Amino acid sequence: MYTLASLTCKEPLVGDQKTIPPRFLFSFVDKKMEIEGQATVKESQPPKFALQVDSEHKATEFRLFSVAAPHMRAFHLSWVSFFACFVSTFAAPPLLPIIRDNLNLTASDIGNAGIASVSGAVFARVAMGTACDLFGPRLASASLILLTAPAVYFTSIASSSTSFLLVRFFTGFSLATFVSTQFWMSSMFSAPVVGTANGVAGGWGNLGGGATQLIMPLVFGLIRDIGAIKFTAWRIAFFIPALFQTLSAFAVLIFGKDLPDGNFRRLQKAGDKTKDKFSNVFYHGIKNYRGWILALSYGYCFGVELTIDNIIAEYFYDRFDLKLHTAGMIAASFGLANIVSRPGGGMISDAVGKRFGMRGRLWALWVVQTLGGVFCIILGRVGSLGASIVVMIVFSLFCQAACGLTFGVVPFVSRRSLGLISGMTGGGGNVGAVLTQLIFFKGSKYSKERGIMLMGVMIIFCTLPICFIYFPQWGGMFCGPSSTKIATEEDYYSSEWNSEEKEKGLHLSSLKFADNSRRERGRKEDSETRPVDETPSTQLLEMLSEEFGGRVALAEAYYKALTASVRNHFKGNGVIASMEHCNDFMFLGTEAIARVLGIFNCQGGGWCPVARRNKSANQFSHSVTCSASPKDIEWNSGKSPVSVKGADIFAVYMFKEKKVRLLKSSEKLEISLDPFNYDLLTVSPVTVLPRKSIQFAPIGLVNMLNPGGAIQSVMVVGDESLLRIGVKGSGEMRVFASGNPVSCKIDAVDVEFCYHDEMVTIQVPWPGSPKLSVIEFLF
Amino acid sequence: MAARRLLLASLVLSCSLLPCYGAVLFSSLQRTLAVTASPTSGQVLKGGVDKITVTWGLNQTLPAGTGSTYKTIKVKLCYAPTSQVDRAWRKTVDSIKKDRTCQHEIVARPYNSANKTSQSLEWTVERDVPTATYFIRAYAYNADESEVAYGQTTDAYKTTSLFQVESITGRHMTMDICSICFSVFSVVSLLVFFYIEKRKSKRSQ
Repeated sequence: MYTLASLTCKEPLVGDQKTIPPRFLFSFVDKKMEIEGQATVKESQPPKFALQVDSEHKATEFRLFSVAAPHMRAFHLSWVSFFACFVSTFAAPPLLPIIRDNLNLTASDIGNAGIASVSGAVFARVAMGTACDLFGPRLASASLILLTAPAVYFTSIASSSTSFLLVRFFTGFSLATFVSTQFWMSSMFSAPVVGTANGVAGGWGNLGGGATQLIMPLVFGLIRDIGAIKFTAWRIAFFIPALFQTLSAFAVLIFGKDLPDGNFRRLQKAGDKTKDKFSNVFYHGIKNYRGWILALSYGYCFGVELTIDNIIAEYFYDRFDLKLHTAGMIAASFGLANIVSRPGGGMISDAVGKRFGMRGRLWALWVVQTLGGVFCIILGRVGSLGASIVVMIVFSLFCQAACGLTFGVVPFVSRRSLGLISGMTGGGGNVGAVLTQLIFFKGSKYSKERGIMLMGVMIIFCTLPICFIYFPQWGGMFCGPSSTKIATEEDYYSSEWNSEEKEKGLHLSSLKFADNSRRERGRKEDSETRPVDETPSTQLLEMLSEEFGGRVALAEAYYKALTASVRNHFKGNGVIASMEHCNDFMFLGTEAIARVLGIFNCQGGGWCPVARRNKSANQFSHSVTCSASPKDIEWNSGKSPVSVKGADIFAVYMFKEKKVRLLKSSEKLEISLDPFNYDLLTVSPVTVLPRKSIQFAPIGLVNMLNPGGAIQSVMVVGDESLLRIGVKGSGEMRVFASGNPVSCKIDAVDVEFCYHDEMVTIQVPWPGSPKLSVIEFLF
Repeated sequence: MAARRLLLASLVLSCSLLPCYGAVLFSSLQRTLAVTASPTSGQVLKGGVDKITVTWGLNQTLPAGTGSTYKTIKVKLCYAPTSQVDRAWRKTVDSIKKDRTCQHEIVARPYNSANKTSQSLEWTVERDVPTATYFIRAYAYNADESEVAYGQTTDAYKTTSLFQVESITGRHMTMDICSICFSVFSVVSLLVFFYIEKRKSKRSQ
């Protein structure tokens, strides 16, 4: 669907029967520019980036040791701030032996505080996801970090088990920065590297949970050695993670950018980024079943990681009679494995995605997470210290890699509600942590080793639903891509927008993303032919965009051509139109042999430069008559100008009437149009087959608005009675001929044809591949 | 496989070394020491401020020669059962090595079996003693540094003569003020940033 362009000339043409020069061509201006009141066509200067970027300006490479703005800078800001939040959230566990004496805590108090520390983030992560969709990751994450920093400061003045639980609960909210990290990386990095970027950012952030088990006792020791007593030293120590958190938030605000092109607010104001409604984002997010499956499976890789962070030190301390210090070091090594394991997961996802597409990513996720479950079971069964440490480290590698692999899939589940899906998945991780601790590690129902073993079994069960994830355009674990209607990336991502929103152009960034996500078909798929779908215009667009290297490039080329034409014909550019959608109508025949002329009656409404909005003036809507002639066509424009010197007769096909007329080059045709009506004339130079004295002129595919655009070549073959025409597309093909052809062939196969009103009509089927159909007429 | 065997071997070896250093059981000890302390039953002492006067010595009613092997006496502050509930890190275990009942040492004095008089000490409750219910126990060590006897202020079931300690909070006025100031600063700076952002985007329009 598209809206017709509206034209206004500088003065409204009033009165009746005034002849309008029939030279209307359209310029397509960004609709938002129209709203801003700018009459000129927008020509954006592509900004320079330090890294290679795709059409959305997302980086296609990941350079770890660079701090180039905006991509790598965003990466470093996001992982450092996330690291700070993890340090704060898990700052209490290593100092618990001191804190529990100071605050007179029982084991239940400690357990409850542990559960509280991870439960806050369940809803915070979902909320964070939506906040990112609406306000951008920079503001959303910095706000959360600065608002939870007080909780860390107040930990220093906690004085009872209740206050301890509360500060741990509120500090835990900061773990929602995970979502903004993933969202930010998904906005800055393109499909080939998004898994790696997400994995490294998430992994190095999670590292905080391990690092804190080393940092806090160190800081505590230092402060105590300076002279403070134990019960004061631990309190002072908490200022360190709190300050770190505050400063990292400042850095994010000052140095970070939401998108490669700038910040949300500024882009929204300039009209470059559309503002979306929360209810729509929320609805489309929760509607997508894949988000729920990933939330569940993430609960059993990341959730398990959080659970282990809370219980593993005690486990080693109790079961193997280690000193607290030693147990703490072993506990730290679980979290420290994140430095390679989670990024490794992300990289595996990208590598597998490159070769096998989305199906590969899903398989890799399922295999790695299930193996994690297996090693968890072994950890619960093994009885010796050395073996336990080894198994724990192997388990941590698989468990954390699965986290990285999950976020190799998440960016593709939804484009409109990316933040919400990330939030749901992240929240699901925390739900898993809460559930697991409640079921297996609260009270004395199960011994810790039995709890660990049962947790492993639960991991395996909760990973199975990944088998049910299915993308129509890419397939699932056990099924290939769909061969029915909604089988392209564009269909999948634009199905999140309704037709009204599409008309306003709100879904365009999704289309861009869809284009760039085509890689998820995998290497094998790309070289095969695309699946056939039913609408000819989609097929045509697919075919044309292939040649141009993608629909975005196609639209850009088209845009440029039209701009040039407008400049040429509408000096001063008092003409403004409002369309940005591409469809086959737009490809006015600048290339073909037969050219099209469009005639529109738009009297009675248009853009008012004074009031700066569209206005209707119905009193001026009358029927208008104009005259058109083959002379009006710009035969010399376009890549292949048609020489019409020799031709003195033209066949003019009228779209509405479906009839053809012969006109000399300067002869005029009178056309009358009612208000808001249009007609299209296809003008084709007539050639004569001398042997049979037959005149012919190719018209084209009349089901299209620009019939002539489908004709790629016309040749008279051999003994001059065979006419060979190359056609691109499918539909009803017409050719003007003064005599009846003997036979018609399409791709050397005989077909039926009819001849009436001096036109030969045949039906051209879809060729099944992006090549031309060769039609031969024998006269 | 070979690495695994090596690990297991070293583990078995290290485990076998443990019993050599004496897992003395509490139940094997004789209660030969008489220990008394100044706090009355149920008295609440303030950490870092109040004092305890502890007196310990060999029970005079016992036959002569009982304390001949004692070389050192260590007096410790121990948790009463009420303070051990739901706190596995204060658990009472028979093996004294693993026992976590008595975590705070008051004093360690050498013992002269010839000197029959009791020893005493006035001890200020240290500032790292947590809030809990306590009793006092003294262990007698022989020349090998292993426990051979004990004595305590309470009965065998640890129900009588228990006193409480109220520890310091560890908080200071300056710390409270700093916490509040920094918290307020974080929130206010966020609002300032928002305001600046809004101004910038308005200006760029």
